[in-house]
Amino acid sequence: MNFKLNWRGTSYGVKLPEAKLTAVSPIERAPLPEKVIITLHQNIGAPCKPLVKRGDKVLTGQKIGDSEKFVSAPVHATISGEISGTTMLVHPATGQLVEALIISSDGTDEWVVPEAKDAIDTLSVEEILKRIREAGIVGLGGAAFPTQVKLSPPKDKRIDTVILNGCECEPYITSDHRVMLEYGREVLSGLNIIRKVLSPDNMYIAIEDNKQDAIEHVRKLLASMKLDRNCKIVTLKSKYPMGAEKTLIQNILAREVPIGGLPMDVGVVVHNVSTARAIHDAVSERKPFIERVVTVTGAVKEPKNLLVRLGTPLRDLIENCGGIDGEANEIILGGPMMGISQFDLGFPVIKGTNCILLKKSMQSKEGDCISCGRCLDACPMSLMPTMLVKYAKAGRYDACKEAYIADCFECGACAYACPANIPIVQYIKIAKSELIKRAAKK
Amino acid sequence: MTTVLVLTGIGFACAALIYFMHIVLPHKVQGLEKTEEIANTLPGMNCGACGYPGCFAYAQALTKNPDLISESPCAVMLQDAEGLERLGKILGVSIDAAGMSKRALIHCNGSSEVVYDYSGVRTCKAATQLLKGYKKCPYACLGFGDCLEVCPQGAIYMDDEKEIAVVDTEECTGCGLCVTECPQKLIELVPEGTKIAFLCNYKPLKNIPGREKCDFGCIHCRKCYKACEFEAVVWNKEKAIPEFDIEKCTLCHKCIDECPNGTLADFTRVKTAAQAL
Amino acid sequence: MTGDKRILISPGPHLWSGLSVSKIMYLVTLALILPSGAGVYFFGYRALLVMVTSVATAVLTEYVSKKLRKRAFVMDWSAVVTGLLLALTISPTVPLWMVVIGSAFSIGIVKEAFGGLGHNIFNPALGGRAFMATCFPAEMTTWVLPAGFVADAVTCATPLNESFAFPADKLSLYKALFMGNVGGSIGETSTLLILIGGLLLLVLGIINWRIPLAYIGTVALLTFALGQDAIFHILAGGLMLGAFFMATDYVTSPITNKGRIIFGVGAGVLTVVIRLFGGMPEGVCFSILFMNALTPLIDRYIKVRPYGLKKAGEK
Repeated sequence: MNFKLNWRGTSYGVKLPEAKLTAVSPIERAPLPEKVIITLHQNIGAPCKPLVKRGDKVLTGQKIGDSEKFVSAPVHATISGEISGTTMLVHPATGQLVEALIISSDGTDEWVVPEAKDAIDTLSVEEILKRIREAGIVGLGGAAFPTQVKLSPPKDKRIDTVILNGCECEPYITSDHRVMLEYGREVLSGLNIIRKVLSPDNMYIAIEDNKQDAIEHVRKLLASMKLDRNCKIVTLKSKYPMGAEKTLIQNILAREVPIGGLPMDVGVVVHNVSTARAIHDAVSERKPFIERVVTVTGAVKEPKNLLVRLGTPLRDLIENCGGIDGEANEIILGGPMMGISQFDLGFPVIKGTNCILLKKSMQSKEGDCISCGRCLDACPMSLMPTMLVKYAKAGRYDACKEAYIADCFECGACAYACPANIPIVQYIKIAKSELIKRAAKK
Repeated sequence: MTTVLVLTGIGFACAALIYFMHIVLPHKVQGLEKTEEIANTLPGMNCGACGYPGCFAYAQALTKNPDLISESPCAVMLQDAEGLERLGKILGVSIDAAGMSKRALIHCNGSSEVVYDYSGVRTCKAATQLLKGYKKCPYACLGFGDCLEVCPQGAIYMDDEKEIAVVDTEECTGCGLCVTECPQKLIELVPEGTKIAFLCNYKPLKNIPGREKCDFGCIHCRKCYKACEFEAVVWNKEKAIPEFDIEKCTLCHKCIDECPNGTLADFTRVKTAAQAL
Repeated sequence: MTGDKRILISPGPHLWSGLSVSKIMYLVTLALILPSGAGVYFFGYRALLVMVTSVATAVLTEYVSKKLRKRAFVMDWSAVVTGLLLALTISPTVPLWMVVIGSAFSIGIVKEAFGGLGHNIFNPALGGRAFMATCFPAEMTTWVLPAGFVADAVTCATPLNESFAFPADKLSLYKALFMGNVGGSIGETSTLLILIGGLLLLVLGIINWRIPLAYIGTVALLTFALGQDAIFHILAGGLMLGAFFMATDYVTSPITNKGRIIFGVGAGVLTVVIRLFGGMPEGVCFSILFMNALTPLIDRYIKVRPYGLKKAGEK
């Protein structure tokens, strides 16, 4: 079933070059790494406290860090071996130093004894949520918000719609695309579990129109799994940032999440397809979340979709793809739009890493704003990025706040379109952190 | 003729109105005489370092609570003994300037290696957000000069060669604006009479991938501690860094000479010392 | 990584459209070649000379003022656009030294003195033209009949002048105005070529359709409502050139789409008022300049409704 788009203007957003180099490469399992680095803070929420100490033997899937806070997710050992030390890493998203555990592999990949599998139908909602939490699942689209929090809305908020997000609107990344094609059954089973938890009226699977094969595949699976009665596939125009939670809700349901609100305020929950797969693994297979599909692409000899253990250093993955090709001087964790630069190949894959992109930078100088208004046209949140930059440059952070800076989710469409090449997103980030600092002071 | 008369009439009417208003309106805002008097003694640069939005707001706060002058003193006033005395008379409190006056000290000697190139907004705030800056030591001074921008005295300048900010200790009033501005949190207010400056923002640094400890920071060798003949160097065991006793120090420079990395400097000559390093 | 080259850390996004300011200005210059060509075709070498003088002075002034302000000089084509636009709005008979003064004023005072590209309040070319119109009123309003490359120029009246002799046949008048075979400024006569250039910019996404449409639409509606010949008013004078190439100047027009419509309508109303009731035959230049001055105000009050913000009165 195709839906007519209901968007107040498909003129928002930007059309990006797709560069999906790995759209037809099947997912390959990466060899076991010799050592993994597990950061104790991988998601939005509270950091974990280590449960093991140096010299301890750990098994694959063993919980090695946890937190008591509600908004948090535990971390697990992703290979078996010995905790050989701790280290500090700069968390790519927050810029803060976080503690990390290093596990040296014993080469056996011995798993913890899995708990008994049982039929999903017999499980209570609490049990499912507990299993999701214990497996350490976070939103795999990039934001890494703990999944069980999203699945436990407050009592007064009824969730009537679940959207499964398979848009993957960023260039280069193909991990969700391949997951839909190769783990479609698991994805839909995960969706079924989400349905059991939230019992929504409608479910949608949103896929961009540049992934026709995935649309066909998922449609067939839906029919064969008899889920097609209350789950529809929505084909969306491929445009950036189509896959962002809020634009997706606007596009499919013509609802707008209120300013400063969450999708659950309008009765919607959006989950990424890879998250659905992880939910299936956690609840049905009782496997903690220790591996994910990562697209290694850009200036590598053979771009690949790799199924890797979390904590694998980037170096291993790049070597697996034949090493660096050409004059790349940027390593980007995530896609080219919202990804964050790294300078060290020793940095590990963390839960939110969906792509490793190597590319040659396009350095050019920041110019003066010519008020062309391209950023306004690009902004999916209908903000005025150029005004935010002007205020941020002048240190008028309160004015930024009044111009709804908090609603910006830093998709980068404005900076992509800016003819003067102003690093709009960076200015916005500075203003945001300054506002947080000021709020904390008061 | 009528035009002339009408216009003249309007003119006189307006003049009368202005004169009337001039008489009726109070010339001085009542109840604010004391505040105004205080404000006149204050430096009037509205630097905001006291935490109030400008000198007049500070004066208002002082009118209400004269003890505020010792709790959060005006750093600029502390440099001016005569003005301070005058202010004390107005407020009716005695101000003990000694011990309150501070100086800013940047805990970095700027020799940390650069590990990667950085392109983006050229301010410390922006660079810190991206992996804590581009130097080997993630606590180092980045040298984009955010502190320069906020200093009301213009007492901070850039050492272009080492790419760090250096405080001119003579010009500095210790207002502390740079302390809050620095995103790396490496500026500290130290007592005015400080003699030895510790130029490292040492924090326990484990082996961060791609980054080791800065080769020029404190290596905790305790040489300074051993060298001091006057027991002026106290070893802080917890942080494993030296601390200096102002009273006992004779500025013999032995600790500075002994330090293998040039992490110590004569505080009164930080400016020149930083250049010489 | 590769060799001993250091890795670069840059803020996201790591992709860029590549449509830079200088590329935009370059495309505008290309589009302007069409009306310029028409000018040369109708008014001969003299028009070419005026254009070359104006552009050269503009670029030189930009270079000098950048050096004086100790800024890097970047050849970003914006000075070329300004110089060319200025040349297109003046009569081909204007003495070259006046062109030099006007062009230098455009860049030096109207643009660079305000802080350069992106900071100017008024459209530089129009600012320069207004300056010339005030300083040299006689030369600026001496129009010649299109003579091509051969014959000597014969002075005539611009179609908007009162002394303009209307031909009895309306269709031939429209045709002459549309093709550009009338007296007037170098670039404003041929509506056809301006339209082609303007449409080119529209298709390439360089200019926004709102300003030209609102501007021309307002002029048409208002003149029609006032009992004037609407088609004549659209085709004659500098309206087309102004609407497509000057009112759409990014820097001096509002950034919001709503604001752009207000800008266009405002300029349209002012143009008609000046043309019909004002002392000057043409009002495009001053109406756009006036709206330029209002642009900061429009930008201040016309905002976009952010996603998720409830409209007033909505629950």
